[in-house]
Amino acid sequence: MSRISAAVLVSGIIVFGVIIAFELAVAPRTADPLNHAPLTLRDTGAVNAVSAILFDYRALDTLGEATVILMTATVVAFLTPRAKASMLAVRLSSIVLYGVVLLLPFITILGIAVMAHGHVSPGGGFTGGVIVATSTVFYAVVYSVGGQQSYVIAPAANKLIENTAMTAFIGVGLLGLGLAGSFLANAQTGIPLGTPGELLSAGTIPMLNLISGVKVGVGLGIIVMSLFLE
Amino acid sequence: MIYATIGLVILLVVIAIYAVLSKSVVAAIVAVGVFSFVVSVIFVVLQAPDVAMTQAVVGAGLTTAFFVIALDKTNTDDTEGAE
Repeated sequence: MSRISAAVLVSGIIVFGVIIAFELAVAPRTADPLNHAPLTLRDTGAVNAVSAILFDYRALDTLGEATVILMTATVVAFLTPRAKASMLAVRLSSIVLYGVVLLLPFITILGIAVMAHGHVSPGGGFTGGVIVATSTVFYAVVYSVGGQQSYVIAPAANKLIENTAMTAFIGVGLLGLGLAGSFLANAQTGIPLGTPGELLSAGTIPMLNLISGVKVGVGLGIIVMSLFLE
Repeated sequence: MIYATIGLVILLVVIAIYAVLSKSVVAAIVAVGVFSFVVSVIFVVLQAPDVAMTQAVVGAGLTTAFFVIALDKTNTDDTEGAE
């Protein structure tokens, strides 16, 4: 990169930062933003309003996002040839190799907890899925040093799990269509919403959280592993 | 609250300049990861914990892993710089 383009880039970044700082300092703030939490609690039984919007009001958009990841994983896995994984340029110390063993169970459990508590606390299916995908990628990358290949789940099983989760998501949607007459309906189907704040509450939202978490986790795992094995 | 946000935004600018101008590719990758992490701290300060979690996981975790794998695939010498 030439010195001129670096200067242009740096000055652009500085101007951008000054504009953001100015906006934050000077721009007027809305005095009383509309609080959606009581409305979402009444409609869906979910304490986390963001999760209620993602998996109830706008669940069809979430299905679209899941489709994007499904298509990307399919195309990437289709286009990249399968070769042997290796990190040739890397030499890992024993601290990394043994530290990963100690760390991975906790990362995976954190991901599953974030998925399962999506309707009561921040997080949700997508975030938990990415945490699980990060832990599997971490394992595969660290243990593929020196030529031997390591998986958590075999690639063929990965694709089967992803397709099953996608079908299950659409199946929950069709359940709403059959029982309440609208695709991905939640409270309208008559499903018990439970006590707000408990793990088993909010109708179909925890189901969709878990399904999309499995789907995103496996899908991102396929994408990263395909590019890693390429 | 607002001063913390302004301070973090200025920190973002400093990290971005470092990522662009650093001679070492690995240092630039780590700087981009730190950039994502500071963005997620800004989201927490602005009371958006859901977005902050996603930003931390995707930006600081998965994207950094992608960059590290890409750096390993291209077999770039670490000391090759911006020139």
